[in-house]
Formats: sequence, structure tokens, C-alpha cells
Amino acid sequence: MNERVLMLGNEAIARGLVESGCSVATSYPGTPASEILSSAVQWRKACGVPMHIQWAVNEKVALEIAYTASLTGLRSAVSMKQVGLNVASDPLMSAAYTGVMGGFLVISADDPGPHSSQTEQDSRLMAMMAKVPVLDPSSPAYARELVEIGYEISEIFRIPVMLRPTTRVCHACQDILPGEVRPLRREADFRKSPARWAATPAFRFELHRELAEKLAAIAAWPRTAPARLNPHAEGRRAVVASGVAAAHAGEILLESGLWDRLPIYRVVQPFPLHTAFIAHLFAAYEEILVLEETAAVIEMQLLDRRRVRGRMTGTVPEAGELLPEIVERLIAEFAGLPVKEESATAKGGGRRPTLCAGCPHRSSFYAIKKAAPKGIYPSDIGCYTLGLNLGGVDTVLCMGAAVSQAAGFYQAYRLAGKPVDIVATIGDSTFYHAGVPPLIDAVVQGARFVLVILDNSTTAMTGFQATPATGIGAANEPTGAVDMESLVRGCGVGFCKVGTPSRLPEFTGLLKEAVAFSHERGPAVVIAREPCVMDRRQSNRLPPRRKVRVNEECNGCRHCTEQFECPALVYDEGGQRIFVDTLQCTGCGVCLHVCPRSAIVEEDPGGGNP
Amino acid sequence: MTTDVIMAGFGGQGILMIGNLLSIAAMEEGRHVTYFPAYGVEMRGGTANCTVVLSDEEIGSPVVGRPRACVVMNGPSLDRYLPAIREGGDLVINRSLVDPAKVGRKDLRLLAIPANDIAREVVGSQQLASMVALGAYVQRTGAVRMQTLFDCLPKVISKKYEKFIPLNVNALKEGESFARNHA
Repeated sequence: MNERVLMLGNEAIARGLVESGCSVATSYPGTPASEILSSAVQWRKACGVPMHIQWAVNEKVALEIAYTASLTGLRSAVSMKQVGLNVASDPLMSAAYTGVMGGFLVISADDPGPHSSQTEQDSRLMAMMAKVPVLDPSSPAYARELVEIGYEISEIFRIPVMLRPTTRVCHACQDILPGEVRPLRREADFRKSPARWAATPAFRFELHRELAEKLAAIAAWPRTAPARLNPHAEGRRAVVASGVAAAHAGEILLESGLWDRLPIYRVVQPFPLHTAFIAHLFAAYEEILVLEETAAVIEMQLLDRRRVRGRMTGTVPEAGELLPEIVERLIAEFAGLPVKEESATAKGGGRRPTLCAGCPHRSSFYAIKKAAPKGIYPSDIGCYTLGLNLGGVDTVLCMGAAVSQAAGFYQAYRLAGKPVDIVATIGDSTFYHAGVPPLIDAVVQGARFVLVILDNSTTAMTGFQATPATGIGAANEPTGAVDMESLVRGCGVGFCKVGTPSRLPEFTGLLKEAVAFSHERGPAVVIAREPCVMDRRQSNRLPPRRKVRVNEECNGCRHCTEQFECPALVYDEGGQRIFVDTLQCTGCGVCLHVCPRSAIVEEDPGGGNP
Repeated sequence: MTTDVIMAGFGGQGILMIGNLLSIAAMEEGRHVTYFPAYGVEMRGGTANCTVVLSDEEIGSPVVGRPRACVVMNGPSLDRYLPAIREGGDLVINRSLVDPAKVGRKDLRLLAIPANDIAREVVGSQQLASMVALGAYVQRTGAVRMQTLFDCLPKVISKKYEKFIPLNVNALKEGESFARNHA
């Protein structure tokens, strides 16, 4: 391949993996990292290289599989979003001590902003805690190059290496010249060494000392040392930046005429920061501005607090993305230039997030509110978080927490002697990811709540990746499959029934039955099974479509737009009544059961009068 | 030379498609390019925008705070991006859905094109409004050659919709000719 390609950052990272001879790549989907694995599938096919590529049930399992492949001498990688790294942190901390054989990359994509995450947490802090080096690319092209460099560090120093792109790297497209694919032709060769791979606490102490030595050497490794972008510039102040903030800063210096007067350094390895670089900064400059996302990782390694400006001094805002306009203001202030009036782009516009028209989750939430109108509704991470606008979601904490939070509410109200209906919702992929252990716990403790598993048979929010029940893999190859009902029953749950949410009256009845069971006997599970309307692979499984219209009985009470909130039901301010937006309507027919005046009716199949 | 543009509108208006086409065309002409697509979590009917940067040199940042140009396909996007455009920049608005009276700024080079009307009445498909707008933008700014856009259409339109390429060419040409006549 000798032609430049417009590549998404995640495609570029995947390209880097294939070029560098990665043999095992694993992941759990999460924005903005999801396309890394699916792109690896594409590049594997295009380049004809042998690789094992898989979605794992969660990030912990994904990391453990990829890490272990490295113990056999193969190169491997695991990718995830930043909150996924929380789930995978247990094996990461330990793997830093035990070290690697083949190169092992942990790719953790951060989401400053945040655009689509619970937190703005900085994975580089996790690298610091684990004591592993982290690389911070500033563009898609650079991210691809850092994959190979990361593997080199990993193999030279026998240590896991983190690659930390952000949304602006993962989701930017750039023209990139693909490199050569270098197959390593390695074969699995696990050399037993129980003292290392199964180390006892006494030897862990030795491993920790060894780790410190590795880090000291990595902090002196020349290839990842910070780069001075404008060597000719002279001054007593300098800017130190990493990631996309370094890209913004470089352009702003050029445009504002500071390029020749304000030295700027781009840091590619924020941890461990190069020792000689730290010494150089304090020898050469009186004042240093640090621009990085999202925590003060570089800044806290620059120990002379009097001379460093950044997030810890309040110079850089504590929260949020370092957008170009913010970097522009910070640099102007630092350089003593007049600061331009903020003409920040106005936020807002568009409409508030809601579930798609025809989404089966909408009927599930509507039914839950009918079955337990005074209930508490813990929920979880996925499309259905948007059920909060329907009044069907009271809490969202982290993956799997709907189940444990339901148990927590139960125990708290039980102590008070005030029983309360609790109906939790969780998606199918999220249930497999982290919902099973708390369900086991609920059975053991006899926690009384209803768990509704919103089973649309896909991981919808991140782009329709398969779930453990789908029976297909990352490359659409057939895989084993887990049967959800058996799994739930195997956990010891006494009530497990499947319903179709779009059959609203029956489904509401089923939920009432489950609520009644939970009052007497511990957790009840209802599996709300209906395909995602947006998932083309499942379009043949959708229930029959129905054409609906609103008749003259509509008095504009807006029950349907407020309690059901389907984007296809629109309130006409002029006529003061509802009409059906036929472009948006998917014909699920659920709204036929929603109108208190029964003003939403089915069109005659013959297409009678509108 | 470096130029950049933010294109914005409703999801489904073809915003990401024209951004992608412009990027690929610039790459075809041997220039460096970044393309940053963004779409809201609100799914269909929500907002979509993208940022394209074209340059003769390697591009640092794919994110642009003060764009040199904007192509605005719906009302909410005008509210959002109007204050951000650089002084003296180019603004192409879709007059079919955006009221030109709402563009208060006098320093911009404004082109108000009835993109939906042209797409529907002249080209024959309202779905091509964004292509009409792209043709107008490219005529006005010279960001790439029109012919390169035509040549790159097969790279952004899937095989299944190949038969619509001539229609897309027409849409680009109609936008171009409107811009030329309203220079």
C-alpha cells in the first residue's frame, strides 16, 4: 500500500497494531475506543495476517486474555474506554509487577469534555498508579507510530505500556500513509517461572523494586523524550504540552506570532517524565505553562511549584476539554498578550437526547412506571440511560450497578421497615459485563426487587457489537453463545420470564406479576426481549409494523409526549393537538396503548381516510 | 496554504457525507487533511457537524475554535456557529431552512443559497441539499477543484447507490452555478 488513506484515529491505531505484528487483540466496546477492534478485523483481512481478535465479556477479562498471550512471547493489545480501565485495573496493577514477555499494549481512550462518558478521568493517572509508562498521541498519524514505539518499550523493559488517545485523536480522520506490515512469525512459547508469574508477596517486593528500576531507565530512554518544536525560539518562559493540547498550542503560537519567542515542548511520554527534561526545564526557564488533558500528570512531576503554571495552580480550568479557544486564551495570558474577548461558540441547539422512535426500551420504561408507579428505578450504562427523560431512571452509577443499587435500596428501606417497589433496568451486554455477580449476591441476601434485562440482542450504543448471547464474533464468525434464561436461573433466581415490551398490556401485566413475586420472595427477573430498531442485522425479527394516526379525539393533553416521549409524536402548537411524524415513525404501534383517550388509532389496512 | 470549514445541520442531512467528500478530494489533490465528524447522542433527527482542515503542510489540530468558513444547513447550527467564524470569513447558509436576516454580522462574506429548493426543484431530490451547498462553498472558496469532487464521488458513495452519482454531480454543479451568479 503506497497511497495515503483518510484514516480514523482508531483505524490508525489498529493499523499500527497489524503493522507491528500484534497477534492477539481484545476489547470491550466503549466510546471513543470501539472502532479500534473492528478496524483491526478489517486490517487483518486486508493484510492477510493471522491474529486472534475478540470482544470480551468485560475489560478485565479482555486485559487478562491479551496479557497472557504476551507471556507466551506474542505481541498483544487490549483496548477500552477510560472507565473500562477501572474495571481492568486489578490485573493491570499486578501485571505491572510481573511484567511481560512479548510486547503488551493497554490502549485506554480518554474522553475529555466529556462527550460520552460518566467521567473525565485521566488514564495516565492509572498508568502512574500502576507504575507503567504511558504514551499520549497528539494526532491519528502519531498514534499509529506510537504503537510500534510502545511495543519496543514494552519488549526492551519487559513492562506493559499504555497508549492513551483522547476522543479528538480516536475520532479525527487524517490522511495517513500506511506502513509496511511486519509479521513477526513468533509462536507461543510459555517459559514457566512460578516465582514471577505466580509471585508470592515476598517476591512481589522484589518485583516492585525491579519495576522502579525499569521506570528510571524508561525516564531516560531517548526515543520518547520530549521534543522541542521551535528550537530557535528564546525566552525565559516555556510551554510544555501533550496530546491534542500540544497540537492546538503549536498552531496558536504560529498564528499569534509567538512561535519565535515562546519555546514549546511536546511531551509524548507524560509518565515517567524524562528526568533530564525536568532538569533542563528548571535550568532554562523561570516560568513553565503545562497544557495537558485532563489531570495534572506532567505538572505534578515538575516539583518546583513556584515556577509551574497549570491545573494545580488554577491557571488551567480544573474540568473540561482544552479546546483551541481555551488554549489560545491561556497562552495569551501566559505570554502577556492582550486576551481576546471570548467569542466562544454557543452551546445548545438540537433537541434533548431521547430514545429513538420505535425503541423497545421506551415501552419497557412506560410499562415499569405503570407496574410500580411509586417505585425506585436504578438503571445502568447504555442507550437506556436516556430513559431518565421518561422518568424511568433514577440512578446511573457504573456498569452493572443497577443490580447492586437495587439491592442497596432494598436493604436500606428494609431497615426502616418501609418496603418500597424497586425496578432496576440493565441492558443485555451490560448484564453480562458486570450484572451477574450482584445478581448472585441478591439471591444470597434475598434482596427483593425486580430486574428488567433490556435484551435487544446487541450492544447498541457503541455500534451494534455482538453480546455473549449472539453467537457471532468480532469478524462475524460463529462463536459459542450463552443462554440468558439459563444464566439467570443458574444464579438461583426463582422468577425469570421473557416478555415482548411492544405488546404493552401483556408486558405490563408480566411486570406486575414480577413485582408481586419480589414482594414475597427475593429478586425477580423479567427479560424484555425485542430487537433494536436501528440494528439492520435484526430487522427480520421486528414485530409486524403498524400504521398509526391521531384522530379527532385528541385534546392535546400531551400525555403521550410527556410520559412516552416518542420523537414521532409531535405536538402541533397551532392546532393544539398531536400528529404523527411519518418520517420518524417506525410503526411499532406501542402508542396505540398510550393515549388516555384512545385517540391514536391504527390506519385501516386498506389505507382508508386519514 | 491552510483553510478550514465547519459544516453543520441535522443528522441525516448529509453533513458528514459532504465533509468526507471534501476531505477525500483535498487528499486527492495532494494536500494534507483532517476531518472530524461529530454527532449528538440524540441519534436520528439530532445535530451533526464536522470540521475539515486542508493544508499544504502537516496539520496539527483537527479541532477548530474559530473557523475560516461555515456551511450552515439548519437554524440551530447558525445560532451555534455564527459567533465563532473568523472576521471576514465565509458563511454559506441554507436559505431554505435558515433565515438570512438572522445573520447579524456584516464582516462575513455571506452566501444564502436555497439549497433544499434547488435540490428538490432543479436536481430532483431534496436529499441532495447538502451537495448543492458543498458546490456553492467550493465555488466561493476554491478549497478544491470542482472536477476533483466529481471524480471522488465514487469513493464516498457505496456501490449500491452508484446510480445516483450523476445526480450528485448535478447537485454540485447547481450549487456552483448559484454561487457564481451571486458572487
